[in-house]
Amino acid sequence: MKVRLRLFGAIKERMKMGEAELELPEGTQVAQLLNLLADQCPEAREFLPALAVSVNLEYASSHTSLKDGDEVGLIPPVSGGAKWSS
Amino acid sequence: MVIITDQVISAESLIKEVSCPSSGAVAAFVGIAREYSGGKRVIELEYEAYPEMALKKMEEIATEVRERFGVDKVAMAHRVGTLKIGEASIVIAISAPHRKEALAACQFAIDRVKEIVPIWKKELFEDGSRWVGWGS
Repeated sequence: MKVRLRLFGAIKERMKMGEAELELPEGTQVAQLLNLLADQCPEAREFLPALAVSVNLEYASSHTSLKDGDEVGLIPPVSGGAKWSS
Repeated sequence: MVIITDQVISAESLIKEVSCPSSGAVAAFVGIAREYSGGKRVIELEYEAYPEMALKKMEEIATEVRERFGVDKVAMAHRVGTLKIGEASIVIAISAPHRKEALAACQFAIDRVKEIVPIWKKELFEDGSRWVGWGS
């Protein structure tokens, strides 16, 4: 399945890209996607635990499963401190 | 009304936007680019948004505010791009029959924006830059 990844702020700078289309196995969870990114982009590894993740414009948890056509956002901490539950 | 824009935003225009005959009060909050941060002089600020999600979250906050505080109208404008010191990054204006609800709603709204709206601020110093929220 294909998901569209969007990056912002500090993580966009670190990974030097604003968006990417990813080919992933059906049912991949957010946590697995982050592990994949950590493997492929060692320079981003230290930033990943601090990120919130959105799926289709809603905050997601690490257990959220992805579907074909989903848009996944990598959300660095916002200025008030991101509050989301995993 | 919620907008994200790279143009200068004004409290006056948002106050006009929310004013209506049933409102005895309008409370407005203006967030301003400030010169010093962490003891260092800021040259300018950059704001970046995830626009589709930021607008969605701002709309949700406006709805939440209307339901919780019984106010009349809510307007929010957030600026993106490069801001000079002294320029407004965000304006929130809320109208209500009485001042108590308007002021409480305004406080709540800005606190919520800072919690959940995916917009980020980068401070540019003479000797480097820093994304606010990261590592703090």
